[in-house]
Amino acid sequence: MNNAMNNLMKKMMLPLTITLIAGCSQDVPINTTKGVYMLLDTSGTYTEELVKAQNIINYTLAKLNPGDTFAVARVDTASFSEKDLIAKATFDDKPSTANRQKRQFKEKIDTFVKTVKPSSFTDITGGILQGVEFLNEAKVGKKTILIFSDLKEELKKGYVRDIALQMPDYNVVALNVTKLRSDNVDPREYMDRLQMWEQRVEAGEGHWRVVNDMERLEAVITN
Amino acid sequence: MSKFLAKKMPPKKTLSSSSLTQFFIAGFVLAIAVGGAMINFNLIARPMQEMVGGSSMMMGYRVANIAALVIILVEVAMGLFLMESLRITRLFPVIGAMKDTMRMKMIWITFGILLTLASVEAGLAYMREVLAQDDAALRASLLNGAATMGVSERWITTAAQMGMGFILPFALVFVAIPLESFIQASRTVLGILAVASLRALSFLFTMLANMSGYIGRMLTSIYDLLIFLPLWIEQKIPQKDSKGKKAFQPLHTQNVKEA
Repeated sequence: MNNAMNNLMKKMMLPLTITLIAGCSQDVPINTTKGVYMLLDTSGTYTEELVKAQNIINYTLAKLNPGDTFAVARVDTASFSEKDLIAKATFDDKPSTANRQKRQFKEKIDTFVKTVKPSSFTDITGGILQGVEFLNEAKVGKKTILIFSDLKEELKKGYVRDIALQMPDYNVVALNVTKLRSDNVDPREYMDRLQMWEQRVEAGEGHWRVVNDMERLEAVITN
Repeated sequence: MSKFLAKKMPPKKTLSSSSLTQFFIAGFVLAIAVGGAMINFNLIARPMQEMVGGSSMMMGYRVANIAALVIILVEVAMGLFLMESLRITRLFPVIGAMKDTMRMKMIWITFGILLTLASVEAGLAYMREVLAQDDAALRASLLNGAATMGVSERWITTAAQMGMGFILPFALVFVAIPLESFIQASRTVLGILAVASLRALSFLFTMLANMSGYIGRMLTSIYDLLIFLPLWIEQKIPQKDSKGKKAFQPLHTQNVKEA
């Protein structure tokens, strides 16, 4: 009788142990990874500002952790395209591999900044739509879109961009929003431009923010 | 002196005082050991990310941290078994009662595991330094020119970390001795604490009982003070019914008269 009980206990121990260990791992894991999609405006004279963008990219690379996703894309005539992606990476779990990926990422950006040619038009909406698609696919926890641009959208004839943005819980940060010559003549133009983007983003359930002082960027990247 | 103390202090008190001393000394040494274990943990937690990944989580904690903690706990457990096999401590009577040949086997096995774990830790400590240098170099290249340590000085920190990684597991072996004293002394200390808490509880209840008694008596006195005047007025006013006869007097005044 005792032996039978012992055998039964031994047989039950393995499934019990497995259940206990499996129970320790969470059923719904909390996604703590970050996803950053950065849009670089390459229209007209704004290409001169790309050195600043390079510093921001390097800073972001230094702050991102293994498991995070980072992509940089250019804004040109038609930006709703994978072809505009300059560099993308989901950093490996192993820190050494993640560091290697970051070095390769930096090299790609350096090459791009050296060889970039200005584009005739500025399709920011297309770039945002591409970013939303990319980050949704990456399945990251916290999604951020950085727009390095003067926010002046200029579309080629025939391009339809009057589309409602769907970006729930996205943080959209406009960086280095430079004032154009016409903004200096009538500052309302600049304010209206910012307000228009804010309304579009918030209508899509996203959070809008403008950061012109790069020292405040840390809070955007690390939080 | 000891005779004098023996005369002065009852045996129960002497034993309690000895246990308390043991408890605090063992507790102090254990706290030092915990400090050592924490340093050990920090040495191996970072390189563990290379083995088990840096972003995977379990129960809200990084798997790499859990793995590092498990290694340290296994080292402590091996240290306990080694000390037990050497009959320095007596925490597990089964090990102490083993045949000498079996005990010797156990000594060598536990020592072998400890040596392996210590070597693994030294390796991890080396990897930690390599990773730290890689991180520093990457940061310097990204953030333009944070100064990094010269190559000539690097071997000092690498060697120090490797040495600590190798020695700390063996140092943790000796935790078994204070742990045994701590467990033995904690029985008496727990008893003393239980007695003290029961005494405190009894004092509290006695105080509450006394307070309740006195509050009751005080409330009776206050009631007497308040009721005295209405009763006195009631007694003084002659009460008559509608026909002019004396009405019914309150019972307590009738009783007083009869008395």
